[in-house]
Amino acid sequence: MRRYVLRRLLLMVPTFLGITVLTFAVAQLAPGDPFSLETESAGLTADALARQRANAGLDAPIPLQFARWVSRVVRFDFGRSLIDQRPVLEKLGEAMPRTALVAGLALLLGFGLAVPLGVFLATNARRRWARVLEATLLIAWSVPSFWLAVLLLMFFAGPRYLDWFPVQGLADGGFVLPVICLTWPTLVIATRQVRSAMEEALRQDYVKAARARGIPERRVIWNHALRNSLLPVVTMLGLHLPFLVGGSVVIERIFGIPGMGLLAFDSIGTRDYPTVMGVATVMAVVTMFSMLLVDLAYGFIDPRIRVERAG
Amino acid sequence: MRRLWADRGGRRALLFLGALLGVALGADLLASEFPLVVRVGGKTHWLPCVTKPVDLDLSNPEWLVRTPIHFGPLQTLAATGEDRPQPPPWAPDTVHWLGTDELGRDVAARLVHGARVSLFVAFFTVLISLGIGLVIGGLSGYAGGLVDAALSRLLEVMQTFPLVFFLIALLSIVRVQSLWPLVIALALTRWTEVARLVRAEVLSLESREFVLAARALGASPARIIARHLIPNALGPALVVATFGVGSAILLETALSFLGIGVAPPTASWGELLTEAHRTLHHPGAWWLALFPGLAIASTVLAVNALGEAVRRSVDGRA
Amino acid sequence: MIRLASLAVVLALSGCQRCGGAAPKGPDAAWLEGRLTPETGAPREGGTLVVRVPIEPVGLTRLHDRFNEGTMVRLTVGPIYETLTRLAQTWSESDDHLTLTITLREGVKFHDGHVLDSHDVKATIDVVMNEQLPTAGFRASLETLSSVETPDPRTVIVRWSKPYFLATHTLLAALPVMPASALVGDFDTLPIHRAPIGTGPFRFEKWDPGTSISLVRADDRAHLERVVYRFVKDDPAAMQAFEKGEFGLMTRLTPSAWRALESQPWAWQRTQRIAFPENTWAWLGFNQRKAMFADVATRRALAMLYPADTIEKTVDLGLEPRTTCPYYPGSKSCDPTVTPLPFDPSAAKRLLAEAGWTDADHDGVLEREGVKFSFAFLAAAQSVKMTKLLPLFLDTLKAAGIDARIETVDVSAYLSRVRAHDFDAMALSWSSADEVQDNFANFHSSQAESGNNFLGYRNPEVDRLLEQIRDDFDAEHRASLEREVHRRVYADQAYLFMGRRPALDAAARSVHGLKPSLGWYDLSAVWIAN
Repeated sequence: MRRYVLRRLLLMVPTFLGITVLTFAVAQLAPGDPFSLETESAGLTADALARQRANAGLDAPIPLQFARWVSRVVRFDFGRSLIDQRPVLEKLGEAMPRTALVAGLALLLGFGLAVPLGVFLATNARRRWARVLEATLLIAWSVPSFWLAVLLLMFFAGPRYLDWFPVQGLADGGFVLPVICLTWPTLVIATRQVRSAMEEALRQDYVKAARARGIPERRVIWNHALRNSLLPVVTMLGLHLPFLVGGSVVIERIFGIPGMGLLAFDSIGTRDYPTVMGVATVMAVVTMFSMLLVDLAYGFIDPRIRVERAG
Repeated sequence: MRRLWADRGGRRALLFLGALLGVALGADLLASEFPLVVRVGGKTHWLPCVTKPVDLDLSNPEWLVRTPIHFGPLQTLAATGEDRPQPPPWAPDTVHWLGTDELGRDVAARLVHGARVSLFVAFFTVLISLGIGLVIGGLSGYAGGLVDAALSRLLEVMQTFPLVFFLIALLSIVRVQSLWPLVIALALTRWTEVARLVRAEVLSLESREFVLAARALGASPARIIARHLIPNALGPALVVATFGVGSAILLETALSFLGIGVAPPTASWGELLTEAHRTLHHPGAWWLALFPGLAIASTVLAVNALGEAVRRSVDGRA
Repeated sequence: MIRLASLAVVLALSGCQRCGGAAPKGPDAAWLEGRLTPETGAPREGGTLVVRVPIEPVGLTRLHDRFNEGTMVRLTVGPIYETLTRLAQTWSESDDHLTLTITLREGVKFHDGHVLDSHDVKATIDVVMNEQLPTAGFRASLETLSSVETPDPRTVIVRWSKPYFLATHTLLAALPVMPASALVGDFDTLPIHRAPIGTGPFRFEKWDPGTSISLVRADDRAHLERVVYRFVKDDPAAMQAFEKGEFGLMTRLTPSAWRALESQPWAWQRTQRIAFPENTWAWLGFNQRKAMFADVATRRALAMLYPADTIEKTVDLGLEPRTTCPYYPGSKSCDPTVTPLPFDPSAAKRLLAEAGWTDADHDGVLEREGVKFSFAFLAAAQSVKMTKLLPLFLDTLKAAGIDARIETVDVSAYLSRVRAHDFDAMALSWSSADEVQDNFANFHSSQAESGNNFLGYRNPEVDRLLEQIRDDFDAEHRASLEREVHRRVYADQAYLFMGRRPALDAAARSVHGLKPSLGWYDLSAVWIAN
């Protein structure tokens, strides 16, 4: 077990390097730099701009810039934002909890509801209400999330209909609507995943065997079949995190939540390289560890799977 | 395919999407400022709505047959010369069936031409990501060892990297005004799912009897991949790909909302919906939001229903 | 899908029921024009004013200003910081305009308790003039400053290397004075960037990153107990919050949001609208380094293809009057007899033909010397106005045989390409918080390489006038020179001048004492009724 975890941790190194190279390349390729935005200060000369670039080390040759970049990433020393001069770690520290709250709740709710829903759909596939539910899920999946967000804002935070929630921010219950918006697609996708995995499991021999042994149907479903059908769902859980953070840009923008998604969007938009570096690194680390946790969770869910399998 | 057609949901979805494809391909025949046929100056011009001739004088035709929607997708009121007491957006009426946007552009015309753009983006995004995913996933699964390890890292990098960085950077580098940069950017971020699936599928297939048999008979690796592994992995990949079309359409709307989607004035569904969001303060302009919203939702619904049907038929075959 | 449809229908219906049923009384004339009614009654003390700010500032020093300068100046200079116009008791200039002597008021205190003296003024100027610091934007207008002396705590003597009409004005009216003690140390990380200390009627209270900045009353110059700047990026969301009464003051409405208020009873019952002509003028420009746009005739033809009336009607909604002048419209610096070129496609076509543009190969696009009249407008993707305006212009250009496209890139890429002169056509607006301004940087040929003359406009006669203006201290005579600049720049079509943008704001009815000016509102005069 310990060797497996160690091996996985070692495998993170090349991935991490790859992300660093990719981030650097993306930052280099996008035209402009943080100082190109200063055009509004009339009379700013090319000399002054060149000096600011030099101060920020942006005039160094690319390999040297890359070496500096990597050395900062591995030390988690992102320095200060080139835009507002605040430490990048401080900015990340403000954005992370907000996103963690919204995305975490969405993840919990989405997967938490998906398991019973999926099981019910799989075991009652022929019932009328299951078909209605199924169709509803399919329809729900088809609505653009920003459109849903705008509708929710209008009907549940607007002055004309149900004025239950604040229009902007997380305080005073403001997290409810964004969580709904993010839970929605998660729930739909996860439910369908659980359902199809469950259907698959119910066809397997060991379930039939369990039934034949006279084990009550409820126990067959919840203990034997579910255990196995959870595997693909748990895989999805790990992969779903970056998706959730990425998808939250739009939601954060509409609901005015200054979280990781907006920070990523704004920092690449202003070419704030240190912040870009910080966001990419932190998200990479979080995602990689969540994938590792998922793999470890396999072992607990299905004891047949030995953790020594290839990573 | 036959199995798909036999499936009720699959048939309905196919019919809907086929009709939609017809609309998208024939957008010029449905909505254009030029007529379908016109006789002018003793000469008959066929389909000027497709050829868009610049020197055709339409002011005095002997007779003409117009497209069902009389406007092009980019025609603002500066081009149509319409003059009404109230500034646009104008509500649906007999001239503009689905109303106009803030520039007096016909919503119906934009919707029809937007279908072409949105479907183009979604279809090619999925096609390219399917291609990349099949190759990388197949290679990774079949070759194993170092190649697999390296490609798995690449997969992980792409899955972990924040999507927005990629899109903004790529879209600000490329200078050409075409849909391809958007398609490629989307495809590059979306191939991972397919690759993962194909790799897993290939791994499980490799130990199956027919592959082992082929190998024992001395078939070359390329032959095994092309004849045995890819066709068998294609089914599950197709399911993912079909659902991918739906999410690509939704992703396009989100990108338009963030201002990094299809460049204006090109009409895409995402762009239309974004315009509706910008004009949200017009209390009555429901037609701006309703029609593009319906178009997107029903298309994605059909695509997902098709995906379900594909899954059912693939499962049935397995 | 079905649910979505019915929701939208319900929305539409209920919207209309409201129009028909409620409030027979419409808005009055003052509300429609955006005039404020004269104040009556005594100010009430206390209360909180919440102001909607669309973009969070990156810092609050003003010296080290970045891309959202406009926002930052409004937020701090006035309420928190004061300029020498307020802090000086008297000032006098020598006859040769080379020495400025300032006597500070007595007993002015910073919010941290220490008393303002001449060293604070000198320290602030030193920071601006320090070439090592990122204060170049401010430094540019003070480049003629040669030394600052402080003979005693209340006297500051500033010496200029050569006379420049705007230097004294900039120093007195724009420089926010900060305490010397707060400017010591590594400039980039000074606490004062995030927690300003000034002498104004409001004291900085706290900055909640991503959410708001709040100020509290510093002394009895202010009526309000607290001012909160809340950052809301999304326009529809901000408007919704305003309707719910969460904002006392909404700034920078778009013309269509402003017009949309007119059909909504809550708006005319509970709010007041404020329209104020700012010194902001927008222009489209063609890169005159390219042969296509090098001649005046072509540029004039392009101007005559600009569908001004249609744009006025659909994009600006009658709120952004046309201008032809690179100075504050309506001021003495503009010649009122200059009339805008009319929208006249047939005249434009004749002009283009005279300039050598013909469609010899009958492909619908003009050529001259083998080059097709085909170009791209570079536009920032986030610019809503451009995405609305350019399609209209494209239509009229196309009809005249000019093939124009829109190329959208994000703001950073946009500005870096503008600076690198890597574009065919672009759009920008110049904005000033002051009525007096110097167009040297915008039109002088020396500024075409690395200055703000992005389009590469060159006219020796205009160069000469702009140089004369710089050391002319006679306001009347200067204005006559500026009118000449106006006439020539317009005749040359250095820019394709569009409209001048007013400040379109809205406030709750309970907010009193709002007096719009070029320097924004004087928040110390504002009060809130019960």
